[in-house]
Amino acid sequence: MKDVLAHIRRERTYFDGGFGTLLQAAGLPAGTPPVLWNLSFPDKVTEIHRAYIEAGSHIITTNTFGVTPDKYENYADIIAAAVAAARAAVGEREDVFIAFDMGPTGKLLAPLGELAFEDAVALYAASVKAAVEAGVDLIVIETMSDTYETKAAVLAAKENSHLPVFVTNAYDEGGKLLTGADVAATVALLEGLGVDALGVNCSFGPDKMLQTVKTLARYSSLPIIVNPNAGLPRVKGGRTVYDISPDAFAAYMRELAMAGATVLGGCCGTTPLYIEKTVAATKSLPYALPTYKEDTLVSSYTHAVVARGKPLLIGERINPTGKPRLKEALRGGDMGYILSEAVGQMEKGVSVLDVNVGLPDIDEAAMMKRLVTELQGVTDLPLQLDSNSPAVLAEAMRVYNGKPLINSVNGEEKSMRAIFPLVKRYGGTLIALTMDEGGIPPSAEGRLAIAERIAENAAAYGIGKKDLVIDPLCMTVSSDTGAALTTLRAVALLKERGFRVSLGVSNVSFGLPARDKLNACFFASALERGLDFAIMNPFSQGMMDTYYAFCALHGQDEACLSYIAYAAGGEEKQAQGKPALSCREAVLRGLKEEAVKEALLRVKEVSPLTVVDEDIIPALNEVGKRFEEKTLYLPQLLMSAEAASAVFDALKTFLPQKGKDEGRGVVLATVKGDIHDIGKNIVKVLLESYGFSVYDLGKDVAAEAVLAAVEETGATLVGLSALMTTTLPAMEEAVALLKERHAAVRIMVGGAVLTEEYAARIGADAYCPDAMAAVAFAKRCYEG
Amino acid sequence: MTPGIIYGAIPADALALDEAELAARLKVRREDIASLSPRFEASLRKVITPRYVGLRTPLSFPEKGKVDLGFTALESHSLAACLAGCKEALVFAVTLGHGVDRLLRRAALSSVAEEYTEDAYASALAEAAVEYAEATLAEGRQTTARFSPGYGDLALTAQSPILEALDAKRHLSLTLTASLLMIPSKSVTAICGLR
Repeated sequence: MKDVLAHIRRERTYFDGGFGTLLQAAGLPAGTPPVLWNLSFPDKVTEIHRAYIEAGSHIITTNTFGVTPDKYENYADIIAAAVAAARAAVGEREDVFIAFDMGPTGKLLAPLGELAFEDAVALYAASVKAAVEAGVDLIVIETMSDTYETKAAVLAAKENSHLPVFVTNAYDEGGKLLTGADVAATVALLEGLGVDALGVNCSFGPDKMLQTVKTLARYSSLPIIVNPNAGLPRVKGGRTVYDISPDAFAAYMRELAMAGATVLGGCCGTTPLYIEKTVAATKSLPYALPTYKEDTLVSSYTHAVVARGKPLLIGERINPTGKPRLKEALRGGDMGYILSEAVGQMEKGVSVLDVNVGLPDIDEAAMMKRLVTELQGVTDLPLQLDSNSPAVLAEAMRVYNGKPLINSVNGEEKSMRAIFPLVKRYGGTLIALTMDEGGIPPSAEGRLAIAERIAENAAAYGIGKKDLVIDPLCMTVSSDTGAALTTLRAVALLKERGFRVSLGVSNVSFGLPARDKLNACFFASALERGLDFAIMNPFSQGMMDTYYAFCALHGQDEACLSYIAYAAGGEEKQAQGKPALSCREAVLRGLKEEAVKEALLRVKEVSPLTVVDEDIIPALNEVGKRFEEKTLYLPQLLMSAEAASAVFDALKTFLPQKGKDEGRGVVLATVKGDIHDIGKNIVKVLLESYGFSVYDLGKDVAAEAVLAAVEETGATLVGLSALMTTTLPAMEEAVALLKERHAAVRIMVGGAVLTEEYAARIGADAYCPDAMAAVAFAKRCYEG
Repeated sequence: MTPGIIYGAIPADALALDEAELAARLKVRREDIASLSPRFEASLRKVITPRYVGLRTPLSFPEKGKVDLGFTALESHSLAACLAGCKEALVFAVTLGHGVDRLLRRAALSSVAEEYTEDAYASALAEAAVEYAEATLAEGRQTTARFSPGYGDLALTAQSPILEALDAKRHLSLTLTASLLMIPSKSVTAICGLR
């Protein structure tokens, strides 16, 4: 077995260059996929490989870019032929390696697109198996612009072969992938997944890659591959040409090699001459592999968070312990509420979000996977995956797009044996609790000893100290007055030994009154001793005050800008706290918080129904009228409606409890295949503001799901929305199904492409050109 | 890579928000735009990553109501009328990137008024990106009006061959769902004739 990694350790290694343009020069007709020539003209393919080997390439990539089973039924034959063509060129050469080339699937992965993560893994897995069967020396995954797709390809490669895996991504001019990831985030992900070399290819020429290569060299402990295009393409005489000559290319490559690039080659537009010149220009340069980097990184699909001096906050709010509303949301699958909790913490300035969905009566693994995916659709913060169950962690780590924090491992044999292999496979930074079979040691020294044992065991799995964050655990001072001191001493000891340290700060005050005061003081003491991560509630004013003040005082806040912005936010709030608007006026102006505040004051004097009848409804009627007169616009109307809904919500507890909606329920959905939901959301807000109970099924909803919701809720009115001509048939289908099963259910429809005639033809009861029309129809249905 | 494809990032400061366009999208009067908070535009500009990809292609009209773009032939009387008299066409796509979709989903969680307003700003900015791409690709030549799948009698199914020819997944991370919606949502495809 040839060892490409040994070659890279020993000397500078060269990739080959472009393929498509050379095949076209050899006669490949425009529009014919180059990979088909593996079967029809293997000699031509071999010739190109041979030319690259003669130019000095050590790694030649098979002509298999984009060959997956969904695109080519005979993918295995194409791959076998491509590998054979490469092998014919390599002959007996011991210093030339065949890399099986994999590129993007051409589809976008969920949650952005429609290709499920595991389906992507399966597509790549099939190709990898065919390549292993054909016999290659390594796998190169290239031109990847999506970290999630990259992860799918790497998992497929690692799970179906023992070959070295190299990955190159296509960064843009700003050093980011098209799906948003920066260099540090990509490095964190790939190192976590255990690839053998990483880097950049395609996109543009080596002239624009210097900054990206420097950043790669800053973060990567692995060999760095640089395979640029021959500049940018332009059209000349009907042919695509590239704007950087072989000599200029080689000069730039020399510069990149000096900036830290280890393995050099080319991509689109480069030819054997480009490689030959590059070899000549760089061969005599001093050669060194990247150094091992000690950074503790966690990442999302856009950016990495680096523990480097400045302490970082981990928002703890997505954890059902002691939170009845969150429990209810988890049981009912109310993702909107949970996602709002995430966005709220994000706006408060946390760097990482803890995600714990452990409840005895739900399928924790399924909920965790769903929530991780949905969270990654709204927030770009890295997540801390938090569960007692290694099985749940395994599933969440697999689908997570990035390198997560993992909460947690501890010093018990059982825990380490379960968790370390997961980190080895999927990557991650571990929170390690200083407890073991004997419980939590009473002394700081005892906790340090456990930390060191955990680190030793982790090292045996190849997990470095940088991927451990030790949590020396904090007991409440209400049961042991020495508890805080012991923990603080442990923090200091751990920092002395070079560990990263984290704490769940608020445990310290459990069982005591005014906990925020104790938490803030303890937090300050822990920060002073070098705490790196704090798991905490970012809505706690005391702790946030402490955090911003600490950073400003410890040189972790350039020009105190964060502190100033934080303080300004607080003052604004206080200033806002003074208005004396009536509830009705607040609804009219669309001021949600004020409206709720005033309403809660009013119900001390009058009945809640009076508030509804005398304040809210008249205010809504007024804005409705102004909207019709066009003296007030949709955004303002919506803000008023939202303020009214918030008041209804706040008054719920005071209003008489009704049964199953007493006939005021409305089921809303955007139909199957359609993902436009603003119109539907507007209707929802207005209906709610008029006191209707809305069951919002979201977008892309199948007819059967609408039917199920009607049956479950007992609602007798359904609103369906479709925005595209292509999704109107789905609306027709939903109407037909509902009418067939529940003739009494009334259906209103709306959406940009709908017409009165179409609505009538498919059997809908009402066509609503706008949201006010939907409210009017709902009132007619329920109020007569 | 398809020969002749031109692509690139659009500098964010090259995109000016057209107030008339924004007012139309928001369904408000133009003079009311000034009263809107600047934060809508500011938060949008923080997350956009505008890019374009395009190609020039020979154009012919094999029969009435049929337009041959070289890589695909489309049946549409309205497109044929729009391109009449031209021998070359520009086919291109622009996107504001995935960050906008995330921003809109976040906005939707807090308030539909936010979502509606931010969405209108994003659409207006996407329109500015289209203008930029057309001007860049036309290189000073006169163009006809722009036409997009879904206009007139040009079926939405035309999105598929256009995005494929442009290699839009690779250059813009732009793809189609099964029901022909574009992702990222603030993306536009367009065809115009070169005079």
